[in-house]
Amino acid sequence: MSAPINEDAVNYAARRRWKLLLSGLLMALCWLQLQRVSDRLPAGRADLSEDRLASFSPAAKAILDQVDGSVTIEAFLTTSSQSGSVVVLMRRMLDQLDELERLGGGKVTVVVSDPSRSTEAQTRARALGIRPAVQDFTSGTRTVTEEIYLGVVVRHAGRSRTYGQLLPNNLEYALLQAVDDLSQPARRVLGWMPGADLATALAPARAQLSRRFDVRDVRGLESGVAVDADIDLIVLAGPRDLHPRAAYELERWLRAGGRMAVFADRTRLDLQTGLIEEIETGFGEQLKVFGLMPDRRVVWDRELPSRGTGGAEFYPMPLLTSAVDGAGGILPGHPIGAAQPQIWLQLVHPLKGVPAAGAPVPDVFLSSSDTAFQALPAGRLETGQRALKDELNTLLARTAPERFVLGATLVGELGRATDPVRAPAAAPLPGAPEPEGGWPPLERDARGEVEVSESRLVVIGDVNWLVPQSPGQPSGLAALLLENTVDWLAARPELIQLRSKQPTPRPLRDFEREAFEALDRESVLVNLSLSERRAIERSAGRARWGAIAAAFGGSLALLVGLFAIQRRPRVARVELADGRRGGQA
Amino acid sequence: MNRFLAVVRREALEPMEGAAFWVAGAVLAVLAHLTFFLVGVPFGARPFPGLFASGFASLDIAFAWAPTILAGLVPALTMGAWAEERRSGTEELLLTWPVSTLALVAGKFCGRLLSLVVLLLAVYLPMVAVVRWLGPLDLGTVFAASVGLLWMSAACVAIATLVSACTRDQLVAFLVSTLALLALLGLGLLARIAPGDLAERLWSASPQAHFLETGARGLVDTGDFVHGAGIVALCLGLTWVKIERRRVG
Repeated sequence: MSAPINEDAVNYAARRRWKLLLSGLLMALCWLQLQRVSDRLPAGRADLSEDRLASFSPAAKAILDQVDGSVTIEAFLTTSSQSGSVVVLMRRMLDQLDELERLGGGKVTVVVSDPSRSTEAQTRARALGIRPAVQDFTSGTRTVTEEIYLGVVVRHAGRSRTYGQLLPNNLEYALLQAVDDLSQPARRVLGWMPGADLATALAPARAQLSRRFDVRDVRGLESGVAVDADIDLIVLAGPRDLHPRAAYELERWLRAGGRMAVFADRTRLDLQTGLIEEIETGFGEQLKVFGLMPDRRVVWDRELPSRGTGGAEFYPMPLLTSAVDGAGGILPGHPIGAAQPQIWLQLVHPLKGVPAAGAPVPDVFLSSSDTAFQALPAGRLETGQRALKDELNTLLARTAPERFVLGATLVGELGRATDPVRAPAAAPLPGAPEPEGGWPPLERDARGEVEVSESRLVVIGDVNWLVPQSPGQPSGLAALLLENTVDWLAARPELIQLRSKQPTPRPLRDFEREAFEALDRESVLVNLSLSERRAIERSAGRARWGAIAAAFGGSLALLVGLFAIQRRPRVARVELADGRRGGQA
Repeated sequence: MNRFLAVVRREALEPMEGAAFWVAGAVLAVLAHLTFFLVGVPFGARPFPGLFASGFASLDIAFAWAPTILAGLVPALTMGAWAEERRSGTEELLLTWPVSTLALVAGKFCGRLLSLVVLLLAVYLPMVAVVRWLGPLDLGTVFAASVGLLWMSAACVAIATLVSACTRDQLVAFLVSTLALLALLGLGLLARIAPGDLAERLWSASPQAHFLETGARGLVDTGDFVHGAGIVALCLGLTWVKIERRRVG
């Protein structure tokens, strides 16, 4: 005889099961919905990294705070793509634009349109000069070709700037630079003065500057014409035999609050023949007053990489000087060194001189390493290994290595330098009528127009870094140094700060160097014996394995410690229990 | 509350009673150091070599491997959470305790998470100290990554606990949890080849979007918290459903 079935209990259990299932489903739906909502809501976000690379910097906020009126950013983005990579990329772009809009506090309006979906948006994008990038990618088993739009237009105060293609890594700098430029009452004017034989070679650098400045040739100075009053800054690139009257006018303008970059060379190298020609800048005496005159000698930096591909050894040579960030090289703390890991210089000349009384002290941003020599350039550059070795040995025997200044800045009232201002040479100069009573000193200008205010000056003892090695734009490093220079001259620290959003160099301890120093040798690496080199490698290898062992051993020690702590109470309990049992027995 | 804490304490200590915890710890230590110092990340969009070859004082390599390591480690720590109770018959006894099912589920989750955190700290703290000695390590990024790793660990433990509650075999729980966590990792990879809309959804749910793109780069993001908390709430809810059904049924 079977037991009676409790129908109420069965129904209750069944109902309960259904309820539980439904609640499970409900929770799953809630989670999915929560994901979607959390994606759309503005995220609360804090960037705790030291470099602040993943968020907009305070400099961006400072630029936006200075803007009067509204800024409209119209983005033409392909928001829907069959490529997952493109979708992820667009998501990051949209996140950044959202963040910029929030940062603007109502000043910035972002309008996003998708030319891939709207014919009207496509027509507008094309009218603005925004062209899609054509990308092939694999979707399943098919190869798909898509047009990807990544263009942005920034509008402010009736003017606009168009970027045909932006990516998340350059979006912040590009947009904020555009906002900064557009918020200026008028486009800044940059005076361009290339050396007589360098106009063509430096055309790409000029083209680079013309994107941001109204670039104007500075002419007629040798005839006594003053620098145009509306010129904001001058780039004097590779001056050669500058007319004394022109040098005088430039100095006068600089002392009166001008802003100037001088990339001065004392040698020209013909790469085909190896012939080196010595030249005069015509502006050296002016730079000498500020302690920044390029010397006739060139710097021979021993810190050049001494190994080539395949372990082949090379002797350092004066043809190239690598100014690398670190000991010597570009000082990372200087604004002009912002985000600039390295620059390659050719036959660079050290800057020498003692600043005249009243002149500000130069601020060095570019130097050689501590182990550099200076050498007088020969008529022909010998690049053979034997010639280099001989030359290096001669230098080693003759001079002591030192650090040389290769680039420096000056900021302050340069007009107060009390060194007697030199009058241009008395020799007759074509087209340069000497004024009555001779050349007036700057402090006692006949027109009384010289007013002393803050000037800015950048000097680098080389111009070759600005010349592209192949047709096209200057190299990325050169373009960066040029941008940093003009931003510093224009006193736009915010833009430099934005550009300096690069990972801070975080080098590991150099065990090779430590081992080398432990040898107590002053010699360069090329003079080390094979056994010494092996000893250095062994020592560095041991140090590395020691670090690995410390980390791994530390982890194991902690695990063993945990194990001991976890076992101890139990052992004590067992011992206690055994003791009690023993006592009872 | 005291009963909940008692469950947490019991569940935090319980894995340490077995050999699996210590074996997992030792394997984790070997793998973590091997990949960090020597192997690096040889695949993916941004491959980079081991620490000394890269010459850069950073824990990026450790962060890049963290999701994969968690996919193997978490199942090893949580496979017995419910499965072992069920197999040995102690689950029935446990369910007779004067503790609500919710407190049991949450207590087991918190306890296992705690034991995982202890293990991770034991393995990674010396690594952080050594890298800090070797170079200028960005501690802000390390902290943000640790917070992100905590959310991700919580999500992984919740998933593995749910799987453990669905079976009575620890091995099955381990294998299924590992597969589930690897599948979650795979969402980020799938997003790169999936069609547009689906790619966005897959990416939103992936650990890549909520750890490697945020915490590992130094960001503390509420979106990551919502993502982690959502997975935890869902999985603990389903675990509760499962256990409550057994308690009722």
